[in-house]
Amino acid sequence: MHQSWMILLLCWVSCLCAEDSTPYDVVAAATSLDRLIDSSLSQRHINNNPTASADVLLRRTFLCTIGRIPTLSEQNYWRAIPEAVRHVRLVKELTNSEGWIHHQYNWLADLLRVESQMMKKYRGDTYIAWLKKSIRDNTPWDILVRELLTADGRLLERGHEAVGYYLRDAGMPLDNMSNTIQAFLGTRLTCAQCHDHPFDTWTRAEYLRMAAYTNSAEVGPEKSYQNQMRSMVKKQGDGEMPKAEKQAARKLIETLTGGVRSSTKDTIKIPADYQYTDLKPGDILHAQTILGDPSPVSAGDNPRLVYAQWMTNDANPRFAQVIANRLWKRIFGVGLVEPLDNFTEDTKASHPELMTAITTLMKTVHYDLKKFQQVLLLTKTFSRASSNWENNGTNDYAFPGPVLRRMSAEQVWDSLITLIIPDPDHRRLADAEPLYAWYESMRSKTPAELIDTIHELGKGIDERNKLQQDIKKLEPDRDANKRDIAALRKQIKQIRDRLQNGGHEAPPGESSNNRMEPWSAYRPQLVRSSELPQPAPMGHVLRDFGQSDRLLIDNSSDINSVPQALIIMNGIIDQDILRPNSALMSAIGTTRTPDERLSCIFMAVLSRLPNDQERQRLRSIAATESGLKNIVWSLLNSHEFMYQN
Amino acid sequence: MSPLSHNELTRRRFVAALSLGLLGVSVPSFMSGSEPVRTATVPHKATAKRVIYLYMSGGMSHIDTLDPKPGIAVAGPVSAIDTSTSGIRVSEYLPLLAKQMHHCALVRSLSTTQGAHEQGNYFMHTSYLLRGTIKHPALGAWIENFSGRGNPTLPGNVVISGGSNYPGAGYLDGAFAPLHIGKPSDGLQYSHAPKGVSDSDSQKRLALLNSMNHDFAQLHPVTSVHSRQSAYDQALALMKSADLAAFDISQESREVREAYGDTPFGQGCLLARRLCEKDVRFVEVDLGGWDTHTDNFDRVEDNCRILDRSLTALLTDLDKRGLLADTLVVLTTEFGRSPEIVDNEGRNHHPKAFSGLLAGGGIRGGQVWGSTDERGETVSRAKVEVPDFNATIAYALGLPLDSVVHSSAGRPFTLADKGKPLIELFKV
Repeated sequence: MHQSWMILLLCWVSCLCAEDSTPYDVVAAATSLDRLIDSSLSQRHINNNPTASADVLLRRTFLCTIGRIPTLSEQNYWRAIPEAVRHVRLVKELTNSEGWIHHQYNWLADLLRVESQMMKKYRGDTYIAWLKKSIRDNTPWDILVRELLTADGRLLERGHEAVGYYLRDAGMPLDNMSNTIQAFLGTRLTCAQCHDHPFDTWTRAEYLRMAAYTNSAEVGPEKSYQNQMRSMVKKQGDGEMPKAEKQAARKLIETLTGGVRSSTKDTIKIPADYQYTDLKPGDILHAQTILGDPSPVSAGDNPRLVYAQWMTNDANPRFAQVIANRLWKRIFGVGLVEPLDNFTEDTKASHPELMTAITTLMKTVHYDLKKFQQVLLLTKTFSRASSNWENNGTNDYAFPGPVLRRMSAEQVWDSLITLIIPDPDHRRLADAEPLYAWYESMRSKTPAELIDTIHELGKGIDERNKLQQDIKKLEPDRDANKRDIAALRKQIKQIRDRLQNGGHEAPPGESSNNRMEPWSAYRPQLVRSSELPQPAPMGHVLRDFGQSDRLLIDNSSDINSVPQALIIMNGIIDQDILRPNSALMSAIGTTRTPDERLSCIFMAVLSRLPNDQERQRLRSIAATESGLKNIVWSLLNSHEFMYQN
Repeated sequence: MSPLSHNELTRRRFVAALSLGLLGVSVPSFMSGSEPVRTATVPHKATAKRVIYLYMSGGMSHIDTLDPKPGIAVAGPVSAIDTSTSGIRVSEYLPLLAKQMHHCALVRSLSTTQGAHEQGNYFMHTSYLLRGTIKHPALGAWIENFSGRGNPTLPGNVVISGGSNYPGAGYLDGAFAPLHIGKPSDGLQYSHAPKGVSDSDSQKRLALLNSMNHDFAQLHPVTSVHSRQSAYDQALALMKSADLAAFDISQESREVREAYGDTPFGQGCLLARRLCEKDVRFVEVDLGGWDTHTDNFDRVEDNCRILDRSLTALLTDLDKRGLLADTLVVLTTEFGRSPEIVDNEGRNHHPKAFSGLLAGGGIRGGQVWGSTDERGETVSRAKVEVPDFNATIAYALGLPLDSVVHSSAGRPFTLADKGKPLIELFKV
């Protein structure tokens, strides 16, 4: 048995690595991590948790790789495969499936604070599409980070979308620097933005030197373009531009030219409120890094390139370690270093040898995050029963298995829609194509043509403002004027559409796939989290369950709350899941006996069959329509559904 | 900040405004020419029963709002206007609030050590610095810990439009974590059983749920699972509450709703008033958009238009209903903004000096505490650190500032981390 298992494993490994030039043995790597965990457990006189049941492992693997529970047909497929080979094949297939892209994106979006609307000015669509493509292409982490940090050009131009990383913090270059260091080096510099760091070694001057790498890049609309437009308007000579036209012009230029222009300057001026005596306000500092190689910028070099190379270099003492630790936590529930982003010189991992091993692993796989996570998913530790462990600030976790945790907001929503729509991973809502197309049509206009557009847009804005005033006048007697108000609203909408097509606002994208079969009968918003606006609006299941507001790095929360209980008890279940055409109710419709129904419900919601006790208790209840709905409701509200075991 | 340095600073905090009480209402304390005395003993008599806490997220510019510096370069285009209290002037962006100054105490000498949003926000809400190893409770949870709920069927701690990682109950009972309301006009969503589900079905559903959860809770005795159970218990109690309609602002007349302003913040203030009427002890309403690194003047003016209208409506409405006497209204933010006007008409973060406001709940209106230098750069008088500000709120509520609470790892903590309340702000 053991031998045949090994042979199959080896076959699989060779398939997995077939496309690589240098084959890499993920299973051997997993085994060597297991060896380290085992020896540290025995040093601590702690036993490994027993192996998790096949049911638990299947559900956990789905949640950890593609971020949702398995569908009934997926379960039927995988349960038919012998247990001895199931997990390795499952890991391979899921990490190469569409669901993987959704789940990786959700993690990255929380880390990078991705927004659909950045600084209330820039549309995130193209940047988001580019991030998803990078995940699909499995761009190595060091390359992705370099692309973000050195991005230049316009947000809406293909190949330059990564500038979204800087536009996200437009006007706040110092904050952008702190965020970068926190996200990729797990180091908090924010304190040193204003004064010497009280707990760490950083001084304010060191911080400023660090900021000098990015400080001179021009982030926002193109100034040269703005000036050109301004002189065009002046030449026309009809005096001051009307307010509405000015507004239209500003918005148009922001959308059209928003992006980043590189500079070869690597200096920063000491600000007026500098409080130490080593330097004076107005002194000029040159760029220098805070850790490892000082990386000065030679004349003519792009400082952001020097900065990105220092950041992502194998020699950087924190780059590989921080991403390895982040992903370790993502798979097992606890980091080897906690918290994930407060590394200091005194930081000690709970398992120093293991930390070194996974840092080396990250470098060995050349920052291939998929391969790295495949290794962790194939450890024996991942296949063990979970622990009831909580961090109280003083205790280390020994890693006898993964840790029990509540699903993330995205896992909750994505699992719920798995019970509503068929094939949830392929239904789209977001679409950046209309925005790219809009850009192509606008960029080819001559300045004179643009001026005409601006005149037209200005008129539209004036018209819209006037109609809005008219509505205000009718509002006090809302009921009597209902019809007139509706007519005015319609006119406003027409103007808005015209403005969008004419270029004041870029058109919203909605994928045509959204309304195709097999989804045409379902609300357009029943799509995976990553297809919805980023972040989802307040009041959405995602926000109630703690989706990040995207203001801060890793700002999602898994705290339980009253609104969560209310929305699950009284909202989405009766609204969507118990409707006759939901994926779950359709599946129940194909069953014949109460016993079959029970099996179907338990499998669909909890990925397991009911036990004897449950069968006995629920069999007669499952015989009626309302009883059956009550059972579905109770399973979806249960702790068991909500926790990743 | 370590406790040591904090003590040191408070010790250094000088002395002397006996004059305050004698001078009567409207003379700002800095006009007496000497530093106010900070008494060490804290008499304990609550002057407020509840708090409406208005949080200006992103760092509200003090210079352009409550601490104007007209006529010099740092002011930019902003001028100052007179208020209902002679001698106190505020920014021209706050014309309505100016007429309510007789209810308000301005604190112009706030100072924090935290110049980044996450850290500053956390410090203001909890009085402790953000650390990786522990989560501290925010004020609302402390209040419920010491005073219980004002209304047994409504939550004691409500946060309207707060961020996704708002500090919750920390090491206190998870049931004290705030109830978050995303959109005030939607009220508390899903607070009724869905249409078509009968009472008897609802009961059957709950019985089934309890039997499902029983074993799981026994097998997994962790705080998270326990807190989920408690969230369900609270949700069910709320659904049955006779005061549930407090969450529904559509029951207010159109005039009242318009007075508060048709903005999420305005409607949030109105919701806060409705909840306070039903004795919810702590309601926070957040207004974002203050991180004005660019276009500071346009953006502060826009934000002030919202704040001015809503805060004024709140104060007058509470006053009219007799609630202002025992409801403390607090306005605060994580830090101020730099006197320097940087590229693109922006102001940067400025933790060294900023302003807040207290009104009602026993506060003597028409006064100013502390001051900044002529540029608004540093505190020139009567510095108030973040723990002092929070201790002042706790003092109004009569909460024990010296009562020690231990975290699960046995670390000792107090409400407001040994901050000293500004007892001189209160009516004698």
